[in-house]
Amino acid sequence: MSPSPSPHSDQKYIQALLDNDRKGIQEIYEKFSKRIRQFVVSNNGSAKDAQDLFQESLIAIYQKARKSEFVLSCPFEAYLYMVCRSKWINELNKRKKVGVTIEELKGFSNEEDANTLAEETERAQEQDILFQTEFNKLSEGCIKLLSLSWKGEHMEKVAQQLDVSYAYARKKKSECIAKLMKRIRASSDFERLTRGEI
Amino acid sequence: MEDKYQNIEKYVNGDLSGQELVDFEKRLEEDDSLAEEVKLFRQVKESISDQLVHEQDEESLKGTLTEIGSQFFEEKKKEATIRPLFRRFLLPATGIAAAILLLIIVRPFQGSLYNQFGQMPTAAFIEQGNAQEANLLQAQQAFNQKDYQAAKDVFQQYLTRESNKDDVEIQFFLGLSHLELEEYAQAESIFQSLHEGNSAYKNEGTWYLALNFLKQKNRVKCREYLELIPEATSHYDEAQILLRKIRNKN
Repeated sequence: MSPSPSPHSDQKYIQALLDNDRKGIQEIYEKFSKRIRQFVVSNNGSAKDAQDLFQESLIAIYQKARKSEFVLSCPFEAYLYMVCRSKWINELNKRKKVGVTIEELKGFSNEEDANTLAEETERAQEQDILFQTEFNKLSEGCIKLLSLSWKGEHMEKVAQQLDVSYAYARKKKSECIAKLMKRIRASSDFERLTRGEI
Repeated sequence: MEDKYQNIEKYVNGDLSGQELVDFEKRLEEDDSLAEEVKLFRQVKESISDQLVHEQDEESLKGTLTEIGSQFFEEKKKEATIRPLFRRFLLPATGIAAAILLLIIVRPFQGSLYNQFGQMPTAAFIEQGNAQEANLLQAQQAFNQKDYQAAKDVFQQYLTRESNKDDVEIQFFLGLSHLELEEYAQAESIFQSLHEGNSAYKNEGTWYLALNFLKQKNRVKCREYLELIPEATSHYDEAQILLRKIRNKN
């Protein structure tokens, strides 16, 4: 997807999520929650499912938007719907409700950009989850060291904080990264994700 | 091998220079598996860093979403908290509202949509015998007898006093008077400020803003505001019926 020169006027909703701006977020719920609820309820879900789905989708959008320059090239509602839709289909699969026909909301069938953007969003989130999961399986020492360093702390400071020598910290870090990379490559989700694209 | 990731990380961070950089780039070109490793490392590091840096912001955002979400998805809660604030004029009117709603459904088409939906609430903000606000009592009676001009004059005067200017209830009835007198711009500005505010009249503001547009036959704007009325609040049901009717007319 090539970013358009000027963002869609709905970019304000993205900004509201990035700023944790109550008023803007309130407006997102006022304007869009009803139809998503309708979508979930007419597809084997409850109002509570709809609330969770709506929230998770907004978080996914927020995570995508905070990564880098993010330009919304389509109406926010179409994008949100596509994210919700794909998440809900995954959820139905998990609940073993495979093969059910999805009762679609009307008016979003021509939103190519929204579809592409939603796919990117989903993929980015799956990848984040995979990396995070494997990261959390590292030894406590590795997690501490990598966390400090990757939050932007200089290695000399990291070594000081962990009360080890600079040389040891650097060597240890290299080992931790090697372990992390190996784990990620070995995970079944990585294979699935790579087959999908990369 | 031990410094493999030291080099990769230096390269990714842009910390390699001179001969070191030239050598590394040459290896990258020759060795596909190294190039692949660099690509994956870049993704991993960016992802983990991003999560570490935004951890707290994300938690705060989740808090906001959970709180706002429960207002919108949990059923029939909002009205219960708002109702006491409205009791001065809404409670006696709820039975009537239900009857009107029934009437609208049973008699689908009589006159303009505005005439079907633009029901004026009964003003009851002042009790008989409250001598201090004798003027308001008169205005209330005038309003209820549909003498909106007389009511409007008193409301306007009342609101010019510094101590009264924030009285949202009188603002609301002044807005209604403007609406009935077809002074749309003034009505709009009052309902808009109620709609944007957080008083007990917020929802009323939205609803009458929609009706103000309906009366001007601006269906697009009317719809826009009707769609903002949250479920489980007063006017929601009416708003849904009106939305359906507007759609059918298009």
